[in-house]
Amino acid sequence: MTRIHSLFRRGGIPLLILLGFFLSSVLAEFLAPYRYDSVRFDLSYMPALWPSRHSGEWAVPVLKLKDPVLHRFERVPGQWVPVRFFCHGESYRWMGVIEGSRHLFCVDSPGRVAILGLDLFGRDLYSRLLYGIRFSFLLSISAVSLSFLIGILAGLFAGTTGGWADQLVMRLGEVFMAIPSLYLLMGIRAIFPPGLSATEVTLIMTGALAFVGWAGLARVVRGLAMSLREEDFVLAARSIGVAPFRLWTRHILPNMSYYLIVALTLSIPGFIVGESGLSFLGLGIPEPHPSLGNILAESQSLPAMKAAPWLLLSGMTIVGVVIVFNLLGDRLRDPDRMRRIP
Amino acid sequence: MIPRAFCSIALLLSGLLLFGAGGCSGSAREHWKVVPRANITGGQLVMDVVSDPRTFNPALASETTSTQILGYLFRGLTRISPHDGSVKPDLAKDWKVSQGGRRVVVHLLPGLLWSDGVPLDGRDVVFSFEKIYYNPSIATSVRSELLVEGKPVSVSLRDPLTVVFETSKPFAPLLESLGVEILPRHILEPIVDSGKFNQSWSVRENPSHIVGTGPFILAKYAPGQFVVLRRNPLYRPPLGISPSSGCTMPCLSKIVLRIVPNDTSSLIRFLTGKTDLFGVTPQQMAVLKPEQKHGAFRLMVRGPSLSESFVTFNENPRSPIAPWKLKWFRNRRFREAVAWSIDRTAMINIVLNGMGSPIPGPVPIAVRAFFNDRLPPYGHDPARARVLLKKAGFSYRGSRLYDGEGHRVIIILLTNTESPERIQMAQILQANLKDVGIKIRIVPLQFNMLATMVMSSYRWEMLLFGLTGVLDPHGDISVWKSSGFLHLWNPREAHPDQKWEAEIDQLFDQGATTMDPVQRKKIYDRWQEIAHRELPLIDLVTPDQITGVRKTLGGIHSTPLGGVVPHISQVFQSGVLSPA
Repeated sequence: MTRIHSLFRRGGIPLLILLGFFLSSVLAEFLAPYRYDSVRFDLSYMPALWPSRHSGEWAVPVLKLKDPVLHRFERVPGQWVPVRFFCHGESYRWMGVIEGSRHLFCVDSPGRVAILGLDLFGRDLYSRLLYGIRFSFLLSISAVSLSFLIGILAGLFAGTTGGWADQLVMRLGEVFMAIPSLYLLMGIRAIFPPGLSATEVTLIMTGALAFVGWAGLARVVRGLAMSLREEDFVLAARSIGVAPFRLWTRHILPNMSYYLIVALTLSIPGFIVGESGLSFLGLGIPEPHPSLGNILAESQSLPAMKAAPWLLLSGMTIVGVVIVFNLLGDRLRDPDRMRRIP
Repeated sequence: MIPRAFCSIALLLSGLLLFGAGGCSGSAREHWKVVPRANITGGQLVMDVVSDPRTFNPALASETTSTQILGYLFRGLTRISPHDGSVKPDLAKDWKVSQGGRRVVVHLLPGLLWSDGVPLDGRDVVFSFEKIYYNPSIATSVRSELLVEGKPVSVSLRDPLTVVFETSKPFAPLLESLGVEILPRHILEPIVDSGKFNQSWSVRENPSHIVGTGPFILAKYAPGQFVVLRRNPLYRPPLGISPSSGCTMPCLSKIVLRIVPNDTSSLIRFLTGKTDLFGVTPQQMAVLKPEQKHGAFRLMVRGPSLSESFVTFNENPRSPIAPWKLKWFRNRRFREAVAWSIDRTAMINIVLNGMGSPIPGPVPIAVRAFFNDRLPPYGHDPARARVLLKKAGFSYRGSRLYDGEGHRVIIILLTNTESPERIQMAQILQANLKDVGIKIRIVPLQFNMLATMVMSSYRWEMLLFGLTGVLDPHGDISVWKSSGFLHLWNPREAHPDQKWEAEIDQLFDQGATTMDPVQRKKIYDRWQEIAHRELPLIDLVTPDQITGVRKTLGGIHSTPLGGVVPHISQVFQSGVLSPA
């Protein structure tokens, strides 16, 4: 309990914001009024439409397309659809497992509530952002975990063994670091055939991101391991014959955990940006599955930006998440320095 | 600390917002008005092209920038009327067709000069055909259009201004084919004889060496920057083209083609008054339409374009795809069900901004002479599609479709990444087909890779693609004849694989050798009926043709087949832009 308390005290507001993001993306099915692929071809690029009070209840007006060229809509006179709360709406499988249809709020067709506006195919941007954040979060967290696993193992192996093994692992790591990561990612993605399912693409992206990201960490872990190797308590443990694996887990790793936690929080945003970059280039998760990158990619032409500037919100979400992660990393790394600043 | 952190986030976000807002209002805010010019001769026309020309040799040019530029520099014996698609004289004065269409005698306009002052006569015509277009050692893409059943047309000189064309069989599109560029014998003959023609008139050639008969001559080419064309003072306009009032043709003294990196920069340059003519895509209408008045331009909408977009299935038994999938694709009812599932109205409203129309068949509506108007269009009727699928032996488990052998219907749809419109159409198609239980996986590929997969390895299932429409159905021969290389669903067949393909082969052979227009129409009507029933290509939608025209230009008329410029030599600059 005290540990969690201290984590919150050290993480502060950035941690709370991130937890908020995380929770809302986990609960995307419930919080989003629509599925990520629920289209309304007649409401392409409809701007945000919030519920308002109409004859004593919350409701949204029914809109219809008036001018497809300029994406203008007009109200169908006299037609309002009430907003229901904790209601049954479009059915879903929560995290792909549990079936359900309960939503925080829903509006029956032909009405359409749009918290942030709709995209080209009339899909709800708010719903897609929630699903997209989930995808980006889960993907980058699993990629970070995988890359840390590789990085820590490689670093420990190189740092504690030394000699030719050290040379081999470190030079290999340098090769990876020398290639610009986006090109490396695109190269890895291009090895696999096109036409894979969303799950397969997700696994490949996770693997690719981890594969590209391990080297920097391995290098630092190696350095830390080399210095810890010479510490008295390690020498003592070795002199009484502690096995190498136990030496790693009991004596070396715990002593670098402070660094690892900070490195973890600071590298997640890198992975989020990497994922977004791949999806933006069309190499990421295939449509209609949303990720922050491919929602942003929808707004890359001048006409799209003009017709639906709200699509840029996904870019702002990326920036926001990255900033919050960095703030969290800063706080965890150096809590005293942060506290001293008025 | 908290306020500080929030401040930085807020600052960054607001910065982004401002940037975003700047992006969306990025269209020009300059207001222009048109000040008339005192003398309308000697103006200039500025346009953008999105790539460098590859060659200045008309026989070797195939990509659009080269052909556009060379269209101003060279002429053929005939030209196509932009108003109705009929054949009109260009370098020719007139012609006479005899022997049931097997002989055409062409008389040249007297007094024609090349742009270097040398007179043009029949020897240039004979040279162009015999030494260039029919020369097997020259890599020209035009040759296939000039062959009648694989054999060249015999070209002979009767007198300096009369050329006789003879074919072994009547060939209906012959007059249209005579529109190929005539090239100067006095310059190119030594080059052809020395075997260097394939490298001649490259983009590195000195502009003054490129000699033509067109209204303009090449003045300067700066790679990656611009191409400048100057008025050809020795130009003699074709019969039937009268000058715009107050100037001798060509009225313009200069055409400037700026090379820009992409369509968006071209759009911005048009909005900011830097160019005079701009081919508008329907998506760009949302940006351009509100700016018409301030930008001093008008948007001319000319009805459906000739370009086709369609989906097609791999029906090729030689392809390495799963045998059960091939069975679906070769099933006519399955294809018909797909045709009924497509919501073309949504495609028009979403992909084409409401500016387009569904394609009824292989002949564009604009080509009145051959369009078969008796065929009912395919609408959006998922219920009918489901019934058809059940009739075709498919069944539903829940909302998912399975075939008779128990395979779930999942299809990989290829399209090319270069076209965002096609990817959007594919996404609508994906949602439409999901409604009838078919799962589509979209794979956008780069064009070259796509072409390899479709045309040589045959490793594909479903394709969303487009082709440029043609004025004479004979131009579609490579798509529809079973031996054609663009016969996408089963390319280069040794023998027609299905009965209806054999009938289409026969119809195209007949169509090429029948001279009577009524009879030809009947032949191609029958072809359209078969195409409509068998659906090897399931047609989607075509955008409206829209051109943005600066109000400083004159001699501009909307034509159904040839854009807004009926003839470039009639265009003049009536005014200049000035800030309002």
